[in-house]
Amino acid sequence: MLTEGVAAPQVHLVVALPGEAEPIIAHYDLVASGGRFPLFVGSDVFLTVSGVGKVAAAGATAYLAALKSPGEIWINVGLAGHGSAPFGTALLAHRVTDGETGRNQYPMHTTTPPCQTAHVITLARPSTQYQEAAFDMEASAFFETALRFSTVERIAVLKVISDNPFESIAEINRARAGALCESLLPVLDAEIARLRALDSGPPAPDLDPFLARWHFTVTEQHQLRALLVRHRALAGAPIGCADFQSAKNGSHLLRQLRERVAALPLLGLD
Amino acid sequence: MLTAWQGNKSRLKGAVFRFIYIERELKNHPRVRALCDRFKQATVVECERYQEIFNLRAQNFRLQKQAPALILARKTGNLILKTPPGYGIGGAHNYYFSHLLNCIYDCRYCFLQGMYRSAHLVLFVNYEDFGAAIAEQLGREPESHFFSGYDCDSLALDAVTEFSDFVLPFFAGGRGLLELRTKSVQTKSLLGRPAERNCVVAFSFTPDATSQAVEAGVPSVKRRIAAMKSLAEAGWPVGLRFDPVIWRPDYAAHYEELFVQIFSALPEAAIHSVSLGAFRLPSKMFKTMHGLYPEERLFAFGLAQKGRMVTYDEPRGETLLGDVRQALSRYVTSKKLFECQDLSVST
Repeated sequence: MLTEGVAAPQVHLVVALPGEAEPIIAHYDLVASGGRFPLFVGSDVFLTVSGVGKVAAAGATAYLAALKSPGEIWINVGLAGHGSAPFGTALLAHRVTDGETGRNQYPMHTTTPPCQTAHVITLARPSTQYQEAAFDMEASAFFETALRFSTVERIAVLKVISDNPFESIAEINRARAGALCESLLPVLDAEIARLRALDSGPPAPDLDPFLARWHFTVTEQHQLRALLVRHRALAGAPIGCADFQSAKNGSHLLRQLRERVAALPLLGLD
Repeated sequence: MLTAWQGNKSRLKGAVFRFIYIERELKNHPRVRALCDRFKQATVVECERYQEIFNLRAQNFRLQKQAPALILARKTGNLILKTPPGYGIGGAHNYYFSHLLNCIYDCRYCFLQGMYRSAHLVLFVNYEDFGAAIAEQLGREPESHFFSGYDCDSLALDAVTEFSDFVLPFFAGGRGLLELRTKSVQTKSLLGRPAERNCVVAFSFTPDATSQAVEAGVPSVKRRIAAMKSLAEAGWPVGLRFDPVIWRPDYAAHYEELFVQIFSALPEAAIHSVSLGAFRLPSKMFKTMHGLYPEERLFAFGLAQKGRMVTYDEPRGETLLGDVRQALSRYVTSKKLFECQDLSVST
């Protein structure tokens, strides 16, 4: 398991090719950590190199989720072709279509995205039959898999245009892929900052300090969580272990906590 | 001019709609074209059916509420539905319809937060099908009462949807009764046409301090009373809805102040009906809402589960409703006073 206890929402990056991943690994000072899929680890950014295609993308996404607790930020970063967008354009997906099944998914941008948004179609093999949409080979499988571990607002597909009717797909090589992904870094930084700033409310109460000190049955753990939430709502601030020095056991602590909650003044809703 | 959104500007950070999703089959629909023209700054995304977006399991209502998108769709299936038992203002045949799902306001007690997974606004643009369903029902039962504003605010987006202009002619000649329920001050379209005696514009209120605490984006009580007064003076029957009644330690003084504000501005004769109802939610919805807003004080005290509902504990709930009912009785006759006893939801 990777290290726990990081305050900032953790970012999970899924990138198809080593050449695309290299500038990102360097930018975030990620360290190789081995694994079935190549894994690179930082303090709060994790990157896996999936390989090309939907099966590889789904596998790598699930692999990364299995290593880390779910519920965080997920971004698929990579190259894409497009019918009209210029070479080097950064695009975030607002719709992702599986080119084989036709199934659609819709990444949600609840705050202003740092670049243009576009339709991304995931194909089974490279194509030069360009459309007014970006072509890639991983996004739909990545997105569908990441949705099992997070919510649609926190999952992004960020692409940089590597080929179009004027820039041949045959020109793409490791160096070019690396340069394109390096040019994408300011947008990736901004997208990570945007997703980290999403406010979905206060985190769940941290039970670990309580569980480390007293024994609680499963039912008592539910009661503890509910009382801590209620106390925070009524008092406007959380309460910690230090307030229960005299508690002899879990049941005793719950009794004390109930009394404290009951004694809180009901000051109205303001 | 999209005035409905102006008061909500800080919440929406200046953006009206950043994204508009349209069902592919509707991309050439005149209302869809008009709305896309109106919101030129929005990114338009085609979808197959609105449920692809709206019903997705892995989404966060709270995050979406900060900047909801507009989804333009076609409503199929039953377009008008019977209201829950106990819901109504004296009619024998009560129905509701929902041309719009979700609301631009952010009332913490609203059941929509617990009912829908998405906070995006879904506008069903096939108004003609709603009209046909209403006409058919009125043909069967001419005294039918129809309630708009069950899954939305009837007027808050009326300047955009223009739905009231479309639907009111179906009630011309005194057939049936339509209630438009709102917390908005969007009365321009109604004031621009002759009053319909069988269209009740029903305004929902909580006392000012409560509204400021739990009804984000809603115009002030003062502005709503002014809007209601303008409508009453133009001959529109107006209704008062105190549903849900919200407890706070000093509720009696706050409700009394609210009633003084309202009834000093509005003669009793102008009031069509008054209804009140307790704060109540199906426990499953309550659990979802509490999970979305665990820091919310409204959910942290004085509530109890009664059967499958969460409502105020006793005697708090009975005392609250009794006191508010009694205070109201000093201003309105009992014939006009209705108590919503349905075991459905608080809006």
